Amino acid sequence: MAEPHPAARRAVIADRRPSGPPDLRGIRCTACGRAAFPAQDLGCERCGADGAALRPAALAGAGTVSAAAIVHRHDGPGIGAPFTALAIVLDDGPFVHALLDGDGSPAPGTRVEAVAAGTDDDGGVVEVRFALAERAAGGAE
Amino acid sequence: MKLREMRPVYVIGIGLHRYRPLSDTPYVRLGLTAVRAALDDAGIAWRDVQGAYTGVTRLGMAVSRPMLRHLGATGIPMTQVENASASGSSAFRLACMEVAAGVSDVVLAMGVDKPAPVQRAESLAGLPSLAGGHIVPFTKYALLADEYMARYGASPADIAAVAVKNHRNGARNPFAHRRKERTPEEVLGDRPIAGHLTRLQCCPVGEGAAAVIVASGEAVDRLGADRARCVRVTASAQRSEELYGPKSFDAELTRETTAAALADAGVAPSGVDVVELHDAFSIEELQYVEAMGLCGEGEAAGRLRAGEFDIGGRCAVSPSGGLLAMGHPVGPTGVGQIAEVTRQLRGEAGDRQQPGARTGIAHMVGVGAVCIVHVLEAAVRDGAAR
Repeated sequence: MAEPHPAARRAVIADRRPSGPPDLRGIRCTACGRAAFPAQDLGCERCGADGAALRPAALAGAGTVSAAAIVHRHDGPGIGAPFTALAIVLDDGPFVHALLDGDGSPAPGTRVEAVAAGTDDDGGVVEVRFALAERAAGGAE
Repeated sequence: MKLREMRPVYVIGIGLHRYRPLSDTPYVRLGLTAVRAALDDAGIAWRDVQGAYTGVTRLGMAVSRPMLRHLGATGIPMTQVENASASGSSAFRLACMEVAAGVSDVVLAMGVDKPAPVQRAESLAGLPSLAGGHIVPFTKYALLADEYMARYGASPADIAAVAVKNHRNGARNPFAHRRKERTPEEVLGDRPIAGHLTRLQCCPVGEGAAAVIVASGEAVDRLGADRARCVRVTASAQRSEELYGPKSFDAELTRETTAAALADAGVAPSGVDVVELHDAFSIEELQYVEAMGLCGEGEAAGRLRAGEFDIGGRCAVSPSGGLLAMGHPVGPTGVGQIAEVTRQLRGEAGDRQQPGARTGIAHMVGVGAVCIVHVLEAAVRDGAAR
Protein backbone atom coordinates (compact mmCIF):
# COMPACT_ATOMS: atom_id res chain seq x y z
CA MET A 1 0.00 0.00 0.00
CA ALA A 2 1.36 3.39 -0.94
CA GLU A 3 2.23 5.79 1.86
CA PRO A 4 0.60 9.20 1.57
CA HIS A 5 3.03 11.83 0.32
CA PRO A 6 4.70 13.54 3.31
CA ALA A 7 3.45 16.94 2.16
CA ALA A 8 -0.11 15.64 2.34
CA ARG A 9 0.08 15.16 6.10
CA ARG A 10 2.05 17.97 7.65
CA ALA A 11 2.77 17.65 11.33
CA VAL A 12 0.89 19.75 13.84
CA ILE A 13 3.64 21.85 15.45
CA ALA A 14 1.76 24.23 17.76
CA ASP A 15 -1.42 24.53 19.82
CA ARG A 16 -3.61 27.59 20.15
CA ARG A 17 -4.38 28.89 23.64
CA PRO A 18 -7.43 30.89 24.82
CA SER A 19 -5.26 34.01 24.75
CA GLY A 20 -1.70 34.90 23.83
CA PRO A 21 0.55 33.26 21.26
CA PRO A 22 0.22 29.54 20.49
CA ASP A 23 2.50 27.09 22.31
CA LEU A 24 5.07 25.22 20.24
CA ARG A 25 5.01 21.42 20.48
CA GLY A 26 8.44 20.59 21.87
CA ILE A 27 9.96 18.10 24.25
CA ARG A 28 11.75 18.13 27.55
CA CYS A 29 14.25 15.39 28.32
CA THR A 30 13.53 13.87 31.74
CA ALA A 31 17.11 12.57 31.92
CA CYS A 32 19.01 15.84 31.41
CA GLY A 33 16.35 18.56 31.37
CA ARG A 34 17.07 19.85 27.87
CA ALA A 35 14.11 21.49 26.11
CA ALA A 36 14.02 21.12 22.34
CA PHE A 37 11.90 21.82 19.27
CA PRO A 38 10.43 20.01 17.35
CA ALA A 39 8.85 17.14 19.27
CA GLN A 40 10.52 13.79 18.62
CA ASP A 41 11.18 10.46 20.37
CA LEU A 42 14.32 9.55 18.42
CA GLY A 43 16.75 10.69 21.08
CA CYS A 44 17.93 13.70 23.10
CA GLU A 45 20.66 15.64 21.31
CA ARG A 46 22.44 16.31 24.58
CA CYS A 47 22.35 13.00 26.45
CA GLY A 48 20.95 10.42 24.01
CA ALA A 49 17.94 9.39 26.13
CA ASP A 50 15.10 8.23 23.89
CA GLY A 51 11.50 7.10 23.79
CA ALA A 52 9.47 7.81 26.93
CA ALA A 53 12.36 9.79 28.46
CA LEU A 54 11.44 12.56 26.02
CA ARG A 55 8.22 14.11 27.36
CA PRO A 56 6.03 16.33 25.21
CA ALA A 57 6.38 19.91 26.42
CA ALA A 58 4.47 23.06 25.51
CA LEU A 59 7.12 25.67 24.74
CA ALA A 60 6.06 29.30 25.03
CA GLY A 61 5.70 30.86 21.59
CA ALA A 62 7.79 33.85 22.59
CA GLY A 63 11.42 34.76 22.15
CA THR A 64 14.07 37.31 21.29
CA VAL A 65 15.50 37.96 17.83
CA SER A 66 19.25 37.33 17.64
CA ALA A 67 19.47 38.07 13.90
CA ALA A 68 17.29 38.91 10.91
CA ALA A 69 17.79 38.94 7.14
CA ILE A 70 15.55 39.92 4.27
CA VAL A 71 15.83 37.20 1.62
CA HIS A 72 15.68 38.87 -1.78
CA ARG A 73 15.63 35.79 -3.98
CA HIS A 74 14.98 32.10 -3.46
CA ASP A 75 15.03 29.27 -5.99
CA GLY A 76 13.06 26.80 -3.88
CA PRO A 77 9.84 25.43 -5.42
CA GLY A 78 6.79 27.33 -4.19
CA ILE A 79 8.84 29.77 -2.13
CA GLY A 80 8.23 33.40 -2.97
CA ALA A 81 10.64 36.24 -2.14
CA PRO A 82 11.15 38.64 -0.51
CA PHE A 83 10.59 37.36 3.01
CA THR A 84 12.39 37.89 6.32
CA ALA A 85 14.25 35.05 8.02
CA LEU A 86 14.81 35.25 11.77
CA ALA A 87 17.12 33.60 14.27
CA ILE A 88 15.27 33.46 17.59
CA VAL A 89 16.20 32.37 21.10
CA LEU A 90 12.93 31.08 22.57
CA ASP A 91 12.16 32.02 26.18
CA ASP A 92 12.14 28.31 27.02
CA GLY A 93 15.66 27.83 25.67
CA PRO A 94 15.71 26.41 22.14
CA PHE A 95 17.37 28.39 19.32
CA VAL A 96 15.31 28.29 16.12
CA HIS A 97 15.19 29.71 12.62
CA ALA A 98 11.74 30.99 11.62
CA LEU A 99 10.00 33.43 9.30
CA LEU A 100 8.77 36.91 10.19
CA ASP A 101 5.04 37.52 9.83
CA GLY A 102 5.49 40.96 8.31
CA ASP A 103 8.06 43.07 6.50
CA GLY A 104 11.39 44.61 7.42
CA SER A 105 14.39 43.45 9.40
CA PRO A 106 13.90 43.67 13.19
CA ALA A 107 17.05 44.51 15.16
CA PRO A 108 18.71 41.95 17.44
CA GLY A 109 16.98 42.08 20.81
CA THR A 110 13.49 42.61 19.38
CA ARG A 111 10.77 40.60 21.15
CA VAL A 112 8.68 38.32 18.91
CA GLU A 113 5.71 36.02 19.40
CA ALA A 114 4.42 33.04 17.48
CA VAL A 115 1.36 33.36 15.25
CA ALA A 116 -0.52 30.47 13.64
CA ALA A 117 0.14 30.89 9.91
CA GLY A 118 -1.37 27.69 8.56
CA THR A 119 -3.76 24.99 9.75
CA ASP A 120 -4.75 21.55 8.53
CA ASP A 121 -8.31 20.33 7.85
CA ASP A 122 -8.80 19.57 11.54
CA GLY A 123 -7.66 23.03 12.66
CA GLY A 124 -4.23 21.88 13.84
CA VAL A 125 -1.48 24.47 13.51
CA VAL A 126 0.97 23.20 10.87
CA GLU A 127 2.74 26.48 10.09
CA VAL A 128 4.02 29.07 12.55
CA ARG A 129 5.56 32.46 11.89
CA PHE A 130 6.73 35.08 14.35
CA ALA A 131 5.50 38.67 14.63
CA LEU A 132 6.79 41.64 16.59
CA ALA A 133 5.46 41.18 20.12
CA GLU A 134 3.34 44.33 20.26
CA ARG A 135 1.75 43.47 16.88
CA ALA A 136 1.03 39.88 17.83
CA ALA A 137 -0.57 41.06 21.06
CA GLY A 138 -2.86 43.27 18.99
CA GLY A 139 -4.29 40.15 17.35
CA ALA A 140 -2.48 39.45 14.08
CA GLU A 141 -4.39 36.21 13.71
CA MET B 1 47.30 8.78 17.82
CA LYS B 2 48.41 12.03 16.20
CA LEU B 3 49.25 11.99 12.51
CA ARG B 4 52.64 13.52 13.34
CA GLU B 5 53.49 10.51 15.53
CA MET B 6 52.79 8.08 12.70
CA ARG B 7 54.80 7.46 9.54
CA PRO B 8 55.43 10.85 7.82
CA VAL B 9 53.07 11.68 4.93
CA TYR B 10 54.01 14.04 2.10
CA VAL B 11 52.07 15.71 -0.70
CA ILE B 12 54.22 14.89 -3.75
CA GLY B 13 51.98 15.95 -6.63
CA ILE B 14 49.10 18.37 -7.33
CA GLY B 15 46.85 18.88 -10.35
CA LEU B 16 43.66 20.76 -11.20
CA HIS B 17 41.05 21.16 -13.87
CA ARG B 18 39.87 24.78 -13.84
CA TYR B 19 36.72 25.44 -11.82
CA ARG B 20 34.06 26.93 -14.14
CA PRO B 21 30.33 27.08 -14.91
CA LEU B 22 28.56 23.86 -15.93
CA SER B 23 29.54 22.66 -19.41
CA ASP B 24 28.84 19.62 -21.61
CA THR B 25 32.26 18.13 -20.77
CA PRO B 26 31.81 14.76 -19.02
CA TYR B 27 33.16 14.52 -15.47
CA VAL B 28 35.53 11.78 -16.61
CA ARG B 29 37.51 14.28 -18.69
CA LEU B 30 37.59 16.87 -15.88
CA GLY B 31 38.88 14.29 -13.41
CA LEU B 32 41.48 12.76 -15.72
CA THR B 33 42.89 16.22 -16.48
CA ALA B 34 43.52 16.80 -12.77
CA VAL B 35 44.93 13.32 -12.08
CA ARG B 36 47.31 13.37 -15.06
CA ALA B 37 48.54 16.82 -14.00
CA ALA B 38 49.16 15.51 -10.45
CA LEU B 39 51.06 12.46 -11.74
CA ASP B 40 53.19 14.68 -13.99
CA ASP B 41 53.84 17.09 -11.11
CA ALA B 42 54.97 14.21 -8.87
CA GLY B 43 56.98 12.67 -11.69
CA ILE B 44 55.41 9.26 -11.14
CA ALA B 45 53.31 6.85 -13.21
CA TRP B 46 49.74 5.66 -12.54
CA ARG B 47 51.04 2.16 -11.79
CA ASP B 48 52.90 3.64 -8.79
CA VAL B 49 49.57 4.65 -7.16
CA GLN B 50 48.21 2.07 -4.71
CA GLY B 51 44.81 3.50 -3.78
CA ALA B 52 42.34 6.25 -4.68
CA TYR B 53 39.72 8.27 -2.80
CA THR B 54 37.32 10.48 -4.77
CA GLY B 55 35.38 13.31 -3.11
CA VAL B 56 32.10 13.77 -4.96
CA THR B 57 28.53 14.82 -4.10
CA ARG B 58 26.25 15.04 -7.13
CA LEU B 59 27.36 12.59 -9.83
CA GLY B 60 25.56 9.46 -8.63
CA MET B 61 26.88 6.08 -7.58
CA ALA B 62 30.34 4.63 -8.36
CA VAL B 63 32.14 7.61 -9.83
CA SER B 64 35.80 6.54 -9.64
CA ARG B 65 36.33 3.59 -11.93
CA PRO B 66 34.60 4.88 -15.10
CA MET B 67 37.14 7.71 -14.88
CA LEU B 68 40.31 6.13 -13.52
CA ARG B 69 40.18 3.04 -15.79
CA HIS B 70 41.42 5.30 -18.58
CA LEU B 71 44.78 5.53 -16.79
CA GLY B 72 45.23 1.78 -17.19
CA ALA B 73 43.56 -0.89 -15.07
CA THR B 74 45.80 -1.68 -12.11
CA GLY B 75 43.22 -3.18 -9.76
CA ILE B 76 43.84 -0.72 -6.92
CA PRO B 77 41.18 0.05 -4.26
CA MET B 78 38.91 2.94 -5.31
CA THR B 79 36.45 4.59 -2.92
CA GLN B 80 34.00 7.49 -3.24
CA VAL B 81 33.78 9.90 -0.29
CA GLU B 82 30.77 12.13 0.44
CA ASN B 83 30.91 14.65 3.27
CA ALA B 84 28.99 17.62 1.79
CA SER B 85 31.29 20.62 1.18
CA ALA B 86 34.09 18.81 3.02
CA SER B 87 34.01 15.73 0.73
CA GLY B 88 37.39 16.46 -0.83
CA SER B 89 38.89 17.21 2.58
CA SER B 90 37.68 13.83 3.82
CA ALA B 91 39.11 12.09 0.76
CA PHE B 92 42.47 13.73 1.50
CA ARG B 93 42.29 12.79 5.20
CA LEU B 94 41.59 9.14 4.36
CA ALA B 95 44.47 9.05 1.88
CA CYS B 96 46.83 10.51 4.52
CA MET B 97 45.64 7.99 7.14
CA GLU B 98 46.20 5.10 4.76
CA VAL B 99 49.79 6.16 4.10
CA ALA B 100 50.51 7.08 7.74
CA ALA B 101 49.24 3.68 8.89
CA GLY B 102 51.54 1.90 6.47
CA VAL B 103 48.71 0.29 4.52
CA SER B 104 49.86 1.97 1.30
CA ASP B 105 52.85 4.01 0.18
CA VAL B 106 51.29 6.17 -2.55
CA VAL B 107 47.62 7.20 -2.60
CA LEU B 108 45.56 9.55 -4.79
CA ALA B 109 43.05 11.93 -3.19
CA MET B 110 40.89 13.69 -5.73
CA GLY B 111 37.59 15.45 -6.13
CA VAL B 112 35.39 15.86 -9.16
CA ASP B 113 31.88 17.25 -9.44
CA LYS B 114 29.31 18.94 -11.64
CA PRO B 115 26.20 20.89 -10.66
CA ALA B 116 23.09 18.69 -10.38
CA PRO B 117 20.03 18.49 -8.15
CA VAL B 118 20.84 17.20 -4.70
CA GLN B 119 18.75 16.03 -1.76
CA ARG B 120 19.78 16.68 1.80
CA ALA B 121 19.31 13.65 4.02
CA GLU B 122 18.17 15.90 6.88
CA SER B 123 14.99 16.57 4.90
CA LEU B 124 14.25 12.82 5.18
CA ALA B 125 14.56 12.75 8.98
CA GLY B 126 10.79 12.95 9.34
CA LEU B 127 10.90 15.99 11.63
CA PRO B 128 9.03 19.27 11.08
CA SER B 129 10.71 22.68 11.30
CA LEU B 130 9.53 26.26 11.57
CA ALA B 131 11.07 27.57 8.37
CA GLY B 132 11.63 24.42 6.27
CA GLY B 133 13.03 25.01 2.80
CA HIS B 134 13.13 28.78 3.33
CA ILE B 135 16.44 28.48 5.21
CA VAL B 136 19.24 27.64 2.77
CA PRO B 137 22.98 28.23 3.31
CA PHE B 138 22.96 31.85 2.15
CA THR B 139 20.04 32.60 4.50
CA LYS B 140 21.91 31.16 7.45
CA TYR B 141 25.04 33.19 6.68
CA ALA B 142 23.02 36.36 6.09
CA LEU B 143 21.65 35.87 9.62
CA LEU B 144 25.17 35.36 10.96
CA ALA B 145 26.30 38.54 9.19
CA ASP B 146 23.46 40.49 10.82
CA GLU B 147 24.39 39.17 14.25
CA TYR B 148 28.13 39.85 13.71
CA MET B 149 27.49 43.42 12.60
CA ALA B 150 25.28 44.08 15.62
CA ARG B 151 27.76 42.55 18.06
CA TYR B 152 30.94 44.19 16.82
CA GLY B 153 29.68 47.30 15.04
CA ALA B 154 30.94 46.01 11.68
CA SER B 155 29.52 47.54 8.48
CA PRO B 156 28.34 45.94 5.24
CA ALA B 157 31.55 47.35 3.68
CA ASP B 158 33.66 45.49 6.27
CA ILE B 159 32.08 42.20 5.21
CA ALA B 160 32.25 43.02 1.50
CA ALA B 161 36.01 43.67 1.91
CA VAL B 162 36.52 39.90 2.23
CA ALA B 163 35.10 39.45 -1.25
CA VAL B 164 37.19 42.31 -2.67
CA LYS B 165 40.40 40.64 -1.41
CA ASN B 166 39.45 37.16 -2.56
CA HIS B 167 38.30 38.29 -6.02
CA ARG B 168 41.67 40.09 -6.32
CA ASN B 169 43.49 36.84 -5.46
CA GLY B 170 41.29 34.77 -7.77
CA ALA B 171 42.03 37.11 -10.67
CA ARG B 172 45.63 35.84 -10.48
CA ASN B 173 44.68 32.14 -10.35
CA PRO B 174 44.41 30.40 -13.75
CA PHE B 175 42.24 27.66 -12.18
CA ALA B 176 39.70 30.07 -10.63
CA HIS B 177 36.02 30.16 -11.60
CA ARG B 178 35.91 33.95 -11.15
CA ARG B 179 39.00 35.76 -12.48
CA LYS B 180 38.09 39.42 -12.22
CA GLU B 181 39.08 42.06 -9.69
CA ARG B 182 36.12 43.83 -8.10
CA THR B 183 35.89 47.18 -6.37
CA PRO B 184 34.09 47.57 -3.03
CA GLU B 185 31.39 49.48 -4.91
CA GLU B 186 30.91 46.60 -7.36
CA VAL B 187 30.63 44.05 -4.55
CA LEU B 188 28.23 46.14 -2.45
CA GLY B 189 26.18 47.23 -5.47
CA ASP B 190 25.79 43.76 -6.95
CA ARG B 191 22.49 41.89 -6.95
CA PRO B 192 21.22 41.42 -3.37
CA ILE B 193 20.73 37.81 -2.29
CA ALA B 194 19.91 37.82 1.42
CA GLY B 195 20.47 40.39 4.15
CA HIS B 196 23.64 42.32 3.26
CA LEU B 197 25.08 39.51 1.14
CA THR B 198 25.26 40.29 -2.57
CA ARG B 199 25.90 37.78 -5.36
CA LEU B 200 29.65 38.56 -5.40
CA GLN B 201 29.77 37.66 -1.67
CA CYS B 202 28.38 34.17 -2.39
CA CYS B 203 30.58 31.46 -3.92
CA PRO B 204 29.94 30.19 -7.45
CA VAL B 205 29.07 26.47 -7.55
CA GLY B 206 30.25 25.06 -10.87
CA GLU B 207 32.25 22.10 -12.18
CA GLY B 208 35.90 21.15 -11.86
CA ALA B 209 38.41 18.66 -10.53
CA ALA B 210 41.40 18.60 -8.20
CA ALA B 211 43.92 15.86 -7.42
CA VAL B 212 46.80 15.41 -4.99
CA ILE B 213 49.12 12.46 -4.49
CA VAL B 214 50.34 11.64 -0.99
CA ALA B 215 53.24 9.32 -0.26
CA SER B 216 55.43 7.97 2.53
CA GLY B 217 59.04 9.08 2.90
CA GLU B 218 60.18 5.65 1.71
CA ALA B 219 58.13 6.07 -1.46
CA VAL B 220 59.49 9.59 -1.99
CA ASP B 221 63.01 8.13 -2.02
CA ARG B 222 62.10 5.02 -4.04
CA LEU B 223 60.28 7.05 -6.72
CA GLY B 224 62.96 9.73 -6.83
CA ALA B 225 60.57 12.60 -6.05
CA ASP B 226 62.21 15.98 -5.37
CA ARG B 227 62.35 16.25 -1.55
CA ALA B 228 62.45 20.05 -1.70
CA ARG B 229 59.02 20.05 -3.39
CA CYS B 230 57.46 17.55 -0.95
CA VAL B 231 55.18 19.16 1.63
CA ARG B 232 54.59 17.28 4.87
CA VAL B 233 51.09 16.84 6.31
CA THR B 234 51.65 17.37 10.04
CA ALA B 235 48.06 17.23 11.33
CA SER B 236 44.59 16.11 10.28
CA ALA B 237 41.63 16.96 12.52
CA GLN B 238 37.96 16.30 11.90
CA ARG B 239 35.00 17.01 14.20
CA SER B 240 31.22 17.21 14.05
CA GLU B 241 28.82 19.70 15.55
CA GLU B 242 27.99 19.76 19.26
CA LEU B 243 25.34 21.90 20.98
CA TYR B 244 26.36 25.56 20.93
CA GLY B 245 23.03 27.33 21.55
CA PRO B 246 22.64 30.49 19.48
CA LYS B 247 26.37 30.73 18.64
CA SER B 248 27.42 30.10 15.04
CA PHE B 249 27.98 26.37 15.01
CA ASP B 250 30.33 26.69 12.04
CA ALA B 251 32.53 29.13 13.95
CA GLU B 252 32.50 27.05 17.14
CA LEU B 253 33.26 23.89 15.18
CA THR B 254 36.06 25.75 13.40
CA ARG B 255 37.46 26.90 16.76
CA GLU B 256 37.58 23.36 18.19
CA THR B 257 38.85 21.65 15.05
CA THR B 258 41.54 24.20 14.23
CA ALA B 259 42.78 24.19 17.84
CA ALA B 260 43.05 20.40 17.73
CA ALA B 261 44.92 20.45 14.41
CA LEU B 262 47.37 23.16 15.47
CA ALA B 263 48.03 21.41 18.80
CA ASP B 264 48.70 18.12 17.01
CA ALA B 265 51.09 19.88 14.62
CA GLY B 266 52.79 21.79 17.45
CA VAL B 267 52.07 25.13 15.77
CA ALA B 268 50.69 28.35 17.31
CA PRO B 269 48.13 30.40 15.34
CA SER B 270 50.81 33.11 15.02
CA GLY B 271 53.00 30.58 13.20
CA VAL B 272 50.58 30.11 10.30
CA ASP B 273 51.65 31.80 7.05
CA VAL B 274 48.90 30.69 4.65
CA VAL B 275 45.26 29.74 5.20
CA GLU B 276 42.73 28.36 2.76
CA LEU B 277 39.34 28.46 4.49
CA HIS B 278 35.66 27.83 3.76
CA ASP B 279 34.64 31.32 2.56
CA ALA B 280 31.48 30.18 0.78
CA PHE B 281 30.01 33.48 1.99
CA SER B 282 32.05 36.59 2.81
CA ILE B 283 30.98 36.77 6.47
CA GLU B 284 32.51 33.36 7.11
CA GLU B 285 36.09 34.56 6.68
CA LEU B 286 35.73 37.21 9.40
CA GLN B 287 34.26 34.68 11.81
CA TYR B 288 36.74 31.91 11.02
CA VAL B 289 39.97 33.92 11.25
CA GLU B 290 38.80 34.93 14.72
CA ALA B 291 37.77 31.37 15.61
CA MET B 292 41.15 30.07 14.39
CA GLY B 293 42.95 32.49 16.68
CA LEU B 294 44.56 34.48 13.85
CA CYS B 295 43.19 37.58 15.58
CA GLY B 296 40.96 38.40 18.55
CA GLU B 297 37.16 38.28 18.59
CA GLY B 298 35.69 41.24 16.71
CA GLU B 299 39.08 42.26 15.30
CA ALA B 300 38.90 40.60 11.88
CA ALA B 301 37.43 43.53 9.94
CA GLY B 302 40.11 45.93 11.20
CA ARG B 303 42.95 43.48 10.57
CA LEU B 304 41.61 42.80 7.06
CA ARG B 305 41.42 46.55 6.38
CA ALA B 306 45.05 46.88 7.54
CA GLY B 307 46.11 44.29 4.95
CA GLU B 308 47.13 41.58 7.42
CA PHE B 309 45.30 38.85 5.47
CA ASP B 310 46.46 39.98 2.02
CA ILE B 311 49.12 38.14 0.06
CA GLY B 312 52.23 39.77 1.49
CA GLY B 313 50.49 40.48 4.80
CA ARG B 314 51.03 38.75 8.14
CA CYS B 315 49.06 35.66 7.06
CA ALA B 316 47.67 35.25 3.54
CA VAL B 317 44.03 34.09 3.75
CA SER B 318 42.56 32.41 0.66
CA PRO B 319 45.41 33.32 -1.72
CA SER B 320 43.74 31.03 -4.30
CA GLY B 321 40.72 33.32 -4.29
CA GLY B 322 38.98 30.97 -1.89
CA LEU B 323 35.53 29.57 -2.48
CA LEU B 324 34.33 33.10 -3.32
CA ALA B 325 36.54 33.45 -6.41
CA MET B 326 38.35 30.16 -7.10
CA GLY B 327 34.92 28.60 -6.68
CA HIS B 328 33.16 25.76 -4.92
CA PRO B 329 32.48 22.78 -7.19
CA VAL B 330 32.00 20.92 -3.87
CA GLY B 331 33.66 17.51 -4.40
CA PRO B 332 37.00 19.02 -5.52
CA THR B 333 37.06 22.06 -3.21
CA GLY B 334 38.88 20.57 -0.21
CA VAL B 335 41.47 18.91 -2.47
CA GLY B 336 41.97 22.16 -4.39
CA GLN B 337 42.80 23.87 -1.08
CA ILE B 338 45.56 21.31 -0.45
CA ALA B 339 46.90 21.98 -3.96
CA GLU B 340 47.03 25.74 -3.27
CA VAL B 341 48.66 25.39 0.16
CA THR B 342 51.22 22.97 -1.34
CA ARG B 343 51.98 25.41 -4.16
CA GLN B 344 52.47 28.20 -1.61
CA LEU B 345 54.74 26.12 0.65
CA ARG B 346 56.85 25.08 -2.34
CA GLY B 347 57.26 28.74 -3.28
CA GLU B 348 55.69 28.05 -6.69
CA ALA B 349 52.60 30.28 -6.50
CA GLY B 350 53.95 32.96 -8.84
CA ASP B 351 52.24 36.32 -8.42
CA ARG B 352 50.04 34.82 -5.67
CA GLN B 353 53.05 33.78 -3.60
CA GLN B 354 53.00 34.54 0.13
CA PRO B 355 56.67 35.44 0.80
CA GLY B 356 58.48 32.97 3.05
CA ALA B 357 55.47 30.69 3.54
CA ARG B 358 56.48 27.69 5.68
CA THR B 359 53.27 26.57 7.43
CA GLY B 360 49.77 26.45 5.96
CA ILE B 361 46.34 25.21 6.93
CA ALA B 362 43.34 24.08 4.89
CA HIS B 363 39.88 24.32 6.46
CA MET B 364 36.45 23.22 5.29
CA VAL B 365 33.07 22.98 6.95
CA GLY B 366 30.25 20.94 5.49
CA VAL B 367 26.54 20.77 6.21
CA GLY B 368 25.81 18.33 8.96
CA ALA B 369 27.83 20.06 10.31
CA VAL B 370 31.35 18.74 10.00
CA CYS B 371 34.73 20.49 9.99
CA ILE B 372 38.11 19.29 8.72
CA VAL B 373 41.46 21.04 9.20
CA HIS B 374 44.85 19.96 7.84
CA VAL B 375 48.21 21.49 8.68
CA LEU B 376 50.99 21.34 6.07
CA GLU B 377 54.64 22.29 6.43
CA ALA B 378 57.26 23.14 3.83
CA ALA B 379 60.27 20.93 3.30
CA VAL B 380 63.52 22.18 4.78
CA ARG B 381 65.13 24.02 1.91
CA ASP B 382 68.48 22.27 2.31
CA GLY B 383 66.85 19.23 0.76
CA ALA B 384 66.12 17.15 3.88
CA ALA B 385 62.39 16.80 4.31
CA ARG B 386 61.06 17.03 7.84
